[in-house]
Amino acid sequence: MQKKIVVGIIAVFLLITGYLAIKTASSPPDSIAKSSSPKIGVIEINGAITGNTSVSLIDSGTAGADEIMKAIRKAGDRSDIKAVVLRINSPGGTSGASQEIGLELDKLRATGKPIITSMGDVCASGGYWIACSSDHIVANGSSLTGSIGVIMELTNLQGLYEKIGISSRVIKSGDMKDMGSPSRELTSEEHQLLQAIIDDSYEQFLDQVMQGRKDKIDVDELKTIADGRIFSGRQAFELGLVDSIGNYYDALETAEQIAGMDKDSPVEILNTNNFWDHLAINMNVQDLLTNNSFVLK
Amino acid sequence: MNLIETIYGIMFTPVKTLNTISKNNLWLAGIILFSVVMIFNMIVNRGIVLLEPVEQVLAIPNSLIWLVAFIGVIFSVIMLFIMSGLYSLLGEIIYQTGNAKGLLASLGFASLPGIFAPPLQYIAITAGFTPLSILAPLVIGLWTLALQIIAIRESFELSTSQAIFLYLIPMILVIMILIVILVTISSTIPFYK
Repeated sequence: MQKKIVVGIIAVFLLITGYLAIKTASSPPDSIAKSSSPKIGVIEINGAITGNTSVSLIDSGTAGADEIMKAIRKAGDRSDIKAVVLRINSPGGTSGASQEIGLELDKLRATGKPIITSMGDVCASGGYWIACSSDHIVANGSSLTGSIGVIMELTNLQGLYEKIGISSRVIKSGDMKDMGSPSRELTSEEHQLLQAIIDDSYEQFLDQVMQGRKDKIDVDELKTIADGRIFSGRQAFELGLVDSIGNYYDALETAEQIAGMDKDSPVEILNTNNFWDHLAINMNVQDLLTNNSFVLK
Repeated sequence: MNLIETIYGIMFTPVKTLNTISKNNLWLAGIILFSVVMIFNMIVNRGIVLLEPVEQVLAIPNSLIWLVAFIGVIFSVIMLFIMSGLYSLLGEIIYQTGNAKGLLASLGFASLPGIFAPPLQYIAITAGFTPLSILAPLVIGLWTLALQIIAIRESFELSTSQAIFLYLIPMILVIMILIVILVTISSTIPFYK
């Protein structure tokens, strides 16, 4: 009986401390001390922008639209979040994912919550697409940005296949079903079709920039520079692609000013993964981008 | 001997309990218990890290922390196998006695006190009682060390001094190898006067 009591007490002690530890580990560090006071919500966008979040052992992984949109929705739902700062450090990503995030940000802006973008090392292409859905863009003087354009890369391995004796047999329902196959050259018709898709995506990208930078950059000038080239933060500022030069803390200050908040208001990172998210992400390691991905870069 | 009696025995009558465990070759139970201790500690330690976030020189990306921790647990279990085999081999070479399966079981159970260190640290940090957060892992570390030596003694039926000597051999070997490497390296470095 005495043994059962002792072991029982130990078990209860371990269960309680284990529960408390999991509770702590489930809360993002910045939100341990939660209060209802007005806050700035920070959403981090790091790495290539794709549909789903993934973790890589050799690089920074990807910024999944799923997780980012969840964080944007959280910012919209919570009354204590008065402004949002997007911290973007991304060279771009897929056009669909960037567009999804941009649309969700537009919805958030429509509720009256200001969105400020803070550029890290790189905020180009798909990253810049997203930035255009914010009220104010802050860039470091040497941040790399721009790269307004769309690209699709296809590889023709026909010569290699022939050398190593691989021949592929394709059974397809329509002529275009194996468009972009690595085992043969692209036909001119296929090329035209893909070019049309790229052009259309580029037009959408241009529309997004024109909308986001309305009255800040001349449309004709934008069309001249939107050829895929990149700019330093300072060049982008001179051209009107960004609103001010500064770092992350300047972006927070700008957010406070636009939202009419007190100086040094609390900051909460909205897309910090918790205990269960980390487990889920770790069990869903995905490839960064496949060869035929249709990307903004 | 059921689970409650075994857990109670490890803490209050370790000699008799570890002897029984090694004789009955409860190696699977030992591995399971060892894994439970490791996983529990991993979770509570993560809670401790988040209570007291510190700047780390070699910081692991947040998204990989759990993956690294799980790999750590798996590696610890593999190490348990390696240590049991190594001690058994050394026991046979030096004292002509070995019991790898029995030692695997008893070393697994000897890790039990380790389950208390992170919770005590967690409570100490939460309550702001810093000395306990340093003292608890130290005392529990010594307790576990003593149990490991008892585990070797009972599994191989050695004397305490023989068990301590056997326990220290891998460490002595590592130190000796390091010295040899250092001497070799230093002898190849040209010295200028």
